[in-house]
Amino acid sequence: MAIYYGDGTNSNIGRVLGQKTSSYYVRTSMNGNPNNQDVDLWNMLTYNKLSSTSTIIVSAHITMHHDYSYPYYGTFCKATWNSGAGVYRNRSGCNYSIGKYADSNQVIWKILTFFTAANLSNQTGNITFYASYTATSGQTGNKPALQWNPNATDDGRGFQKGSTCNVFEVEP
Amino acid sequence: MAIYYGDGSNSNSGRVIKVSYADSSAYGRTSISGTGGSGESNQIILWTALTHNKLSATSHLRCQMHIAGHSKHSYPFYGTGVRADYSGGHYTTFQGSSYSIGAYISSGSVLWLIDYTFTPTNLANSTGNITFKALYRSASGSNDKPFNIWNPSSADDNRGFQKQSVCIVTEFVPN
Repeated sequence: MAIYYGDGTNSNIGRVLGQKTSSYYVRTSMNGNPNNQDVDLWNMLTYNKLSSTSTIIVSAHITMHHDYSYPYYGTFCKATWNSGAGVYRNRSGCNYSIGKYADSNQVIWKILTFFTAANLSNQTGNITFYASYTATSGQTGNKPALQWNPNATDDGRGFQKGSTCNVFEVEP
Repeated sequence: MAIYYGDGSNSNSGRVIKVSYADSSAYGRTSISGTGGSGESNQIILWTALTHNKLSATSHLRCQMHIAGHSKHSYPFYGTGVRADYSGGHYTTFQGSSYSIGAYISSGSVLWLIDYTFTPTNLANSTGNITFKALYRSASGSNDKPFNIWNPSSADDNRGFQKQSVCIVTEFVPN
């Protein structure tokens, strides 16, 4: 039974059921993709999904250094469940910009996407979200940048950078 | 009458009351048009992203869009914006909307991001259906556009896949 508020809303819809955030800030060399295999750059977080009918909204800001493949539309946000038995690769709202055409430059990867209940096979429980990339069959060695989470090694004026992820579970 | 919780919050303020979301999968890879000239009458509505049924007259609507483009055209061109249509009117803003052409190459990716919060005043204190649109408009020229291809695919780079754009609207009652 829902609680009905005076402004016409209620406790069953349009509410945030849960939220989780993560960050990672270790400078890491990135690998090119093997043939027909995903590179899971970052296991962003595992979220314990409460409702079988809810949607998960994912946003992430991933900082990188040194252009490599471009434009290369091979990045995606991946959700897995049941120890990897269930997988959904989401290519919407997932792109990076290499910035100026210079090798030693920063590269920014943004994710703003959502996973509907159907995308996740109406699962509840642990769902793990990754920032990943791959390429079409026969194309190997692709990656959005050379270094993930740059630091003063990449530019002596700067500091250790990190990447962040936020997940919201909402009942639409 | 609000419900007052033990942590000091209450059921009437500081809460999300509805979230709407959509992707551009109905469109796929699309060649986009340049502005027909200057001014609103010549603007281009790139994407009518979604309609959100606004519940409260006093709530705010945060609109976020991640729009995937390919092949630079106009730059820097500060003419991109977001529009909200409500019953009896609309509100257009060029705030909170920017794109980066990335590398200075013709066949590069272009990333257009929107993050703008519409106040109740922006929307004439409306409730009901509010429709969100990504647009671009030129102040003084024609054939302006942020990129040539919306939602690039393997046709633009054979290593990649069909990309899509995303819009998320969060309705919240501020404190």
